[in-house]
Amino acid sequence: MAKLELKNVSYSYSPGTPFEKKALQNVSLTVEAGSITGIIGHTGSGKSTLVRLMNGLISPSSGTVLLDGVDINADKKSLASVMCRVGLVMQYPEYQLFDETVEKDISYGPKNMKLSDDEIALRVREAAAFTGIPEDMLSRSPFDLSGGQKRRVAIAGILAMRPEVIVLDEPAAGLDPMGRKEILGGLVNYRDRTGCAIVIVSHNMEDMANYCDKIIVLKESREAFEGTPKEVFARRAELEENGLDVPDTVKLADELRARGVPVSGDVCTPDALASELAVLLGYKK
Amino acid sequence: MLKDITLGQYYPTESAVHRADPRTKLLLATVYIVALFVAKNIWGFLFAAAALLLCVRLSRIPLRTILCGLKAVMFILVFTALINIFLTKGEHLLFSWRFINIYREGIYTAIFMAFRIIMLIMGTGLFLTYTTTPIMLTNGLEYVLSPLKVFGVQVHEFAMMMSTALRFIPSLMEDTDRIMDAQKARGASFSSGGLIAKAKALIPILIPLFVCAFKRADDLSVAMECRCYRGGKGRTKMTVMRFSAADWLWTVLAVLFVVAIVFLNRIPAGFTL
Ligand SMILES: Nc1ncnc2c1ncn2[C@@H]1O[C@H](COP(=O)(O)OP(=O)(O)O)[C@@H](O)[C@H]1O
Ligand SMILES: [Mg+2]
Repeated sequence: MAKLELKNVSYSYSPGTPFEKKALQNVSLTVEAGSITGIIGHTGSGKSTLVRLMNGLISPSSGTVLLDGVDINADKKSLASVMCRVGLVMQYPEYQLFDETVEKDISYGPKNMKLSDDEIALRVREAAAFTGIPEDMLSRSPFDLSGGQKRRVAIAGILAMRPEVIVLDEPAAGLDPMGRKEILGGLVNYRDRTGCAIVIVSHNMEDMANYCDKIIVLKESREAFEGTPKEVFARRAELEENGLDVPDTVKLADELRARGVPVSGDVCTPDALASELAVLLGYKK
Repeated sequence: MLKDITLGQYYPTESAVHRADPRTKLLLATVYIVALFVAKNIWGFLFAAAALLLCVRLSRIPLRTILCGLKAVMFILVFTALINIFLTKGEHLLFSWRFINIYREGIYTAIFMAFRIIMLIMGTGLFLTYTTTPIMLTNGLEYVLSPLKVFGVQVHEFAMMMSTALRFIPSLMEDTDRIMDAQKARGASFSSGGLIAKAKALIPILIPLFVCAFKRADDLSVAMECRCYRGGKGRTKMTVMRFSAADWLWTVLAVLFVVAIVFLNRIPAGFTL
């Protein structure tokens, strides 16, 4: 059974008014435990709406959201616990920091879960380690940090709740390449350690190709198609039609093929392309 | 969630009321308020209600939408009604128990007052907020208040402050919604616990909200300075207001409306305020 499953969900903002906006129509998807699922789509295609459905912040106009096979919206009282089990890092999460110190801010979630002080301290240290927050930063004010550091603190605030599914809405948008790599790498480590499922919304196709097991493509509030990064990025024309990009590696592979180098049609990471080229050039069998 | 409060929200559609000049609508709203206080008996109130319903029809805004805006003032409505029922003295005692005396005049006054408030909110809302964009409204206000410049009042600055404030209300509501969602996702609950627990639960919302608001204000002021904003002197407007024939018609109708209310006051009625 899938960890998280969305069945035919639709969602409209301000239904029944002249401002009505169908943000999602009939979308179905599954998220397996231990996997990393990517969601890509043009701005306004409904990605943020989709992730807010996943932890019950909004409930679908039609369709169901199942966590471990249980409809999360069936019992409104259990929604609080669903939010602790499905940790959502919203877009630009640095604007939600509020407490005096980084440590207190990270412990806000665990405190709401009514954990013991020792357990909270332990989890805060653990979450800080995964997100690359050094020990001495814990006692500083979150408002004195740089944008990238604030982002880490916000992500740590969710990790400290030890969710079974972590959903991140553009976690690396606007960060420097190094910071992006560290944050995503930390998340992968966390996944390897805990076996949780991760859902990432991102516009960075390189990252998607590198980290995801499965990619879902949204187009104007509907699901266009899904598949492994190899399958998805092999459909370059369709993606570009939707205003999306493919990783530079795919472009490079296409250019090579156009010049007669027989690289296979579904390479999408630099690693895979390099291996193929090494074989083709005769450096490696 | 917070956006569901419709009081003071522009309703975009095409209608004669939407098209009228903001100055005309300021006049209409003022005239309507005055008329509601001039009206003393049932005939005046019925006439004012009929005129209002006619204008709502003309504006092509569903009556339901405008009635929804009344939810926000429900408390004031009930409160004034109760005060009127219990505190008005009259001749026909209906009910008496210890120190509580309820008179028939009290009931009537309560009903009339409730309708006065309802029509007041609906009328001003219809002419000012539902059919006029905030920008046009402040343009109109700036024009109407411009004689005060003689006394050194900074009318343009006042209008600019008002339009900025109006412009920021939806943004701040959006920020509030977003921050509340973010904290909810961290297990916050805003409805459980006693008064102190509830007040404490607001801190994680208010602090980020203030940070956001100051950042927005800062960004806006820098953006305005970058585009050489130097106050009202010599500043022209993108949309120039035009007083058309339709606006003259509205003005004439408004005057006739007040005259009619004054005459209706003379018709004998069972109860007068
Ligand atoms: N709170 C809201 N009220 C009304 N419409 C909204 C709201 N949030 C998003 N939308 C609309 O829903 C659509 C999908 O938005 P969103 O899920 O934020 O897209 P994405 O994250 O892919 O850019 C957009 O057209 C957007 O304008
Ligand atoms: Mg988004």
